[in-house]
Amino acid sequence: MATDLTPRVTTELDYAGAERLTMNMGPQHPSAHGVFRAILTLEGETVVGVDAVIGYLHRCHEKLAETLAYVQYPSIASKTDYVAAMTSELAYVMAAERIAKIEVPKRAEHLRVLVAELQRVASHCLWLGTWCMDMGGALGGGATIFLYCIRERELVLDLFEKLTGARLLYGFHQVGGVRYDMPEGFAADCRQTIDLIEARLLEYEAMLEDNTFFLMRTKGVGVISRQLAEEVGISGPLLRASGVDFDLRRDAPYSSYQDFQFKVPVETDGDCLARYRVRMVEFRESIRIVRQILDGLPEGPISSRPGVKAVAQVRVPKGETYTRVEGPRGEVGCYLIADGGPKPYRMKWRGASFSNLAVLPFIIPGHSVADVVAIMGSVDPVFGEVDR
Amino acid sequence: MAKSRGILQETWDVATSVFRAMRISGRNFLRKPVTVHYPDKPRTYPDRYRGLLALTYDRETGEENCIGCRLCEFVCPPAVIKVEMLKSEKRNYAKTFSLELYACEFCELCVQVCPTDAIVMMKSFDMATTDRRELLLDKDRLHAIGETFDASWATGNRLRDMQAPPKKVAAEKPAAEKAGGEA
Repeated sequence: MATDLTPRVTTELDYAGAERLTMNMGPQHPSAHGVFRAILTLEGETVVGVDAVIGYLHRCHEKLAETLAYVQYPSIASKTDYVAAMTSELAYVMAAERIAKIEVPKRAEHLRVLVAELQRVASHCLWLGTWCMDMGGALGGGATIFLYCIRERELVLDLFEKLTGARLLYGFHQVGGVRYDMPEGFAADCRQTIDLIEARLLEYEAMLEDNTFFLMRTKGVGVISRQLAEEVGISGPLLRASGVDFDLRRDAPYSSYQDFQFKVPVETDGDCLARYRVRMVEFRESIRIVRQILDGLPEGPISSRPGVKAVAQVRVPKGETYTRVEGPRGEVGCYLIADGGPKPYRMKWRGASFSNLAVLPFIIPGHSVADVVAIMGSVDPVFGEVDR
Repeated sequence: MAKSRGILQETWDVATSVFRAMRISGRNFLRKPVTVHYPDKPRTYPDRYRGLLALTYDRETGEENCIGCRLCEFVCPPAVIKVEMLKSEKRNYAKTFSLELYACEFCELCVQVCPTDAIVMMKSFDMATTDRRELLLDKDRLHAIGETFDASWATGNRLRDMQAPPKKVAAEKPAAEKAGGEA
């Protein structure tokens, strides 16, 4: 396959040297958060152009969804965004429920929000850890923050393991409700874990916020202006860090988000530090929502339909819809066309990482090579979701 | 940012940053380790752990539970289960039952649909091997796994009971469910 190596967006610099260097970053780069190939055009140490090549992790998810029944696909849907598996499952089952006009019991809705928010905590833990590790030894010893964050993420994964039996790909949702009810003692474990994580967040912040190295690496680096953010169509924490006050959980409530109080953090700087601050507040707001759910979890059934006994049990009448949920990385959308059978006619994902990644060629040029990983990490792409 | 200040100020900033970070590192250094030395110490599994798959025997009669109905074969998303039914007088059996564990994704749907609680998951993931063929499990091996490890909580009937809506709700909407194509 011939690839066009001319960068699409370039910046002209006063550069005394005579040559431009074209450098491949990836697809097997340890700091690229996945199989992502960025073709960088360098003038000296400065990047003047970047061309993103994606598709290394393409697994035909959308075609696969046409061949799998509504019963089967939710457990596969978690593989699109494997760092926040609960979100894509939720988008898919919500689409099927909206077409079929299936009511979901209150308890199931609350459990869905509970796992979505726990997942956000787990996902942001991974983001913070890997991002700080990318920026390297400057932060007081390379992998330190990474190991701390993974330690806390493990606690959340342990909770999911108690709830569903799996650590990464859950298959928790089903059309009409959820598959697993809370086991005994889960609420207490959950409270203990989120209390611990909330205390540990203070440690991360104490380690990072006043750290000169950290500020040097993030402040003013990779600025996304409000205008650029709106033009490219980024979403999630990136959008909020650029000064746009938009959160689907508040502005277009789905599941049962209208029952809970939470703040939507907004920063106006649009740089890496602003994105860090938005996510740190989101951590706490997620924990706050989890507490509210645990305080007022209604009793009742967890599914409005009988448990799955056969593959063709769930049939969705003719219709099409688009559902969107606020994942840890932004808006995850699912466009579903049903034709009355047990399988959808067509399904399309809108991956949050995919749209967010489109901003890279606009913000990277002008920065040095070392800043590329910092910017890429602050965008927080998951390549399962980019390539699907 | 750092250019406007003198070299002394910058050095001081760097030193204090490192000192503050090291203080937190020191605090973590004194905490209890969270890692488990796995092969030496056993890992504790939660009740619902989704691990190796196995077939079960009836505890009372000693007969195998599987009736070869092939529901698990139809529901399996990666299609790793293959079953052939053996017709018999009183009940049916599985003539062959093969499971390609190397392609299994442990979604627990086969357990969920099983009408006789024949296929269950084990609280174990100890299946590391150097030969891929060892992960192609036939009926005998699946039964042997069921005898070796502890089964996890979930069985088909338990899962369906947990998910079942109360009878009143089911009675209220028979029309809706018929339209929804209750199988």
